[in-house]
Amino acid sequence: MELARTLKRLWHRRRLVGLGALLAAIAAIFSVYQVGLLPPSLHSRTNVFATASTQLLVDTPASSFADIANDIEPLDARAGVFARFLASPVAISLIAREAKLPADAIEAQGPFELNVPEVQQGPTADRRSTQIVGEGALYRLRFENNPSLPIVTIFAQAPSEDEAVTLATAVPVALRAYIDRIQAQQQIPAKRRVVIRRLGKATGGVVNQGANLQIATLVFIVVLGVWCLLLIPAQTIARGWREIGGDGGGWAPNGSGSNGARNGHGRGRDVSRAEHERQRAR
Amino acid sequence: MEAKALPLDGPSGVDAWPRTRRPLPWLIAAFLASIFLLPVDGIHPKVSLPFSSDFDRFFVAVIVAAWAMGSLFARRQRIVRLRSRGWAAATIAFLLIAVTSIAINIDRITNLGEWEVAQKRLAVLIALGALFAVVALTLRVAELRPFAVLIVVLATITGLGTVYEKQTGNNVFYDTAAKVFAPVAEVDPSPTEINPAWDRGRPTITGPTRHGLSVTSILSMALPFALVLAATATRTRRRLLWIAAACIIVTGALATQRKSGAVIPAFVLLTLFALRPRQLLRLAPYGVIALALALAVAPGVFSSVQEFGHADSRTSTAGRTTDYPAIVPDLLSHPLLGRGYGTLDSERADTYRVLDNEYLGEVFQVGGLGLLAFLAMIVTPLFVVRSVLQSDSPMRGPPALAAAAGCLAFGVACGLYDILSFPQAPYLFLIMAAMCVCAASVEVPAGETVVEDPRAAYAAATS
Repeated sequence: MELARTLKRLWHRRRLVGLGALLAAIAAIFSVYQVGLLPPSLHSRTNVFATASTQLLVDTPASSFADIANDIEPLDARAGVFARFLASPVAISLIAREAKLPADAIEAQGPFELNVPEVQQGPTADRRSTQIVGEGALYRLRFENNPSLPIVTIFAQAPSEDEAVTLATAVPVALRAYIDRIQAQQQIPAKRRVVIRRLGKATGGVVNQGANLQIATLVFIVVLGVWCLLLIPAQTIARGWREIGGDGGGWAPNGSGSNGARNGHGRGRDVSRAEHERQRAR
Repeated sequence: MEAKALPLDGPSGVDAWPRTRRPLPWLIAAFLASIFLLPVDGIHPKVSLPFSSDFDRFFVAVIVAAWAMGSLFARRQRIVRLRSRGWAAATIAFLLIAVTSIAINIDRITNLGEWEVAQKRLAVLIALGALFAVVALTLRVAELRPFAVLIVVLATITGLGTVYEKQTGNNVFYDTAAKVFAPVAEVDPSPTEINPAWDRGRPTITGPTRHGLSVTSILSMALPFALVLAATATRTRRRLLWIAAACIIVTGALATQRKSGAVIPAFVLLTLFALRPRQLLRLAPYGVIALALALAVAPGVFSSVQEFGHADSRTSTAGRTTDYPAIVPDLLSHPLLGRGYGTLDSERADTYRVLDNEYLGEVFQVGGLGLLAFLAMIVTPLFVVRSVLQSDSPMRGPPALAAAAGCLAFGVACGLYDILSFPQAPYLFLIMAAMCVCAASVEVPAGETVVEDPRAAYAAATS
């Protein structure tokens, strides 16, 4: 009954509800678009993003992959070091050059520590500060490494699938180039060199087609709902204001002293009725 | 002492649950039963709907649809219920702030891939708000006591099931749900683990929930109902029955071996003693006997209390204290409206901490304004119901007192873990908040005219 009564009251004020719908539509547009006036333009605030992933294997020139005699433990440790190195500014600038992107547009996070207590897993204030600074970056890299395997997994995020694949592909290339340079500088014998092998091509896809419609709908419903909720008490206040004017400025506490027959709105009559019912029930 | 403005008990005793054919109270009772007996967040219907189709949200959607249909097509009611001013203001404000926080941060949220999880959490929040509104609009004063009895009965069953789980390792709630819902839904496996490896910490005893703290919360929130019913029982046999129920509920909470299992019930007891000392003191001798019996028969039941000095417990406390400095950068970068409701995804442990405190979680997600609205949401039912807390009317006073203590227990539990991550306790809290609103409402015969201004009428009727 209360819903029906509320809907009926809103129907009587349908022009104001219409105005609320207009305001809600404007709020919905502003929630998902940046509106430019000169020249008139709409830029989406939500980002479509795609991801791609690939893996790289830290190996020996003769490949310990197939040779049971080769101990892979030293390679596990190196993979851990490389995974951390890849999140460093030096590595990011190399990756950015390889992917033909500006270095400051890329945000990278190193491997997450798995074998530590839960309390120590969460980021500290210092780490969060760094993460917050990089939250706006459209190109993102995340590296994962299992401490018992010589493999680094690369996850790349970019505004399109092609860019995500390019970014993921750039990582092993950049790392290989960096290590080759060091090996050449230090004149390390060929059989003692670490080799970076990419385990297949990077694959990816679009993850999120954008949230414009969902957010805009949500904002529209909420703004219109709140407008309608406020409309009824606002009308009551406005009516009370008019009543005070009609009474020559007098004020009846809780409306109980006003006379419904006199003000013509029925409010005083209904309040008196409630009081009357109360007395009768006693 | 009688309250200054005792609302009318009204003529609502005629058609009241359980002696009613109105479908809504039955649906609400069924939902309450599902909170206490089913892993509501672990049941996934095998149907694909355009909106979130998890069991609890599906159930709430059915309740809201039934209410809307009833409101639009029902005959004119014989009574009009007048509710206290602003009874839903805090909930609406919190919902509004939650949506605003997401809308403002949407560019960052989508960029970090957090929209999916935020969307799910928002759907739960909307379901919570809708349930609160429908229950507050539906319940009648004469239905408060039967619902209080229902809560105690359900909590007693949950308590027994949790104790059984601790003893045997079998989670009857998950097992039964898996069998019953097999044709229509998939049920997650039970997280129960009574003998964990030495490095896995405490046993996992969860009852119908996903976490021991969650079952502890719902049992603790139900405890005041059992105590109040015991305190107001006129016959000794009834009183003993309610005390036995209270003991089972406390035992169930302690069986989870969480500190909260001792902290929240203790807080509930203190609250009730503070509000109605004379009535509750009557129960003291029974309490002493129950305690002595428990110590003699099953001393292990108090292992939760021993948890205070346990090494694992100290680690948990250290984890809580390290949360405070760790979230400072986020608070400083988004002080007013936070990072966006529902974006604190504890699955992403490399980015976000598991904040063992809902208040911290709220200030992190919805900022200072959101935290204020969240606090207001907890306090509003207490503020609304204050006029009937001391009432001797058996239909209003005892259920109001129990519901208010239950809401306070929720407020305490919020300080102990991320309570909104598990839906049972928030659903129960909002049902109790709705009971508070109902207890303070005024029921007047509708007569031939409709009350045009319910707020003024409520003020007049309670003045």
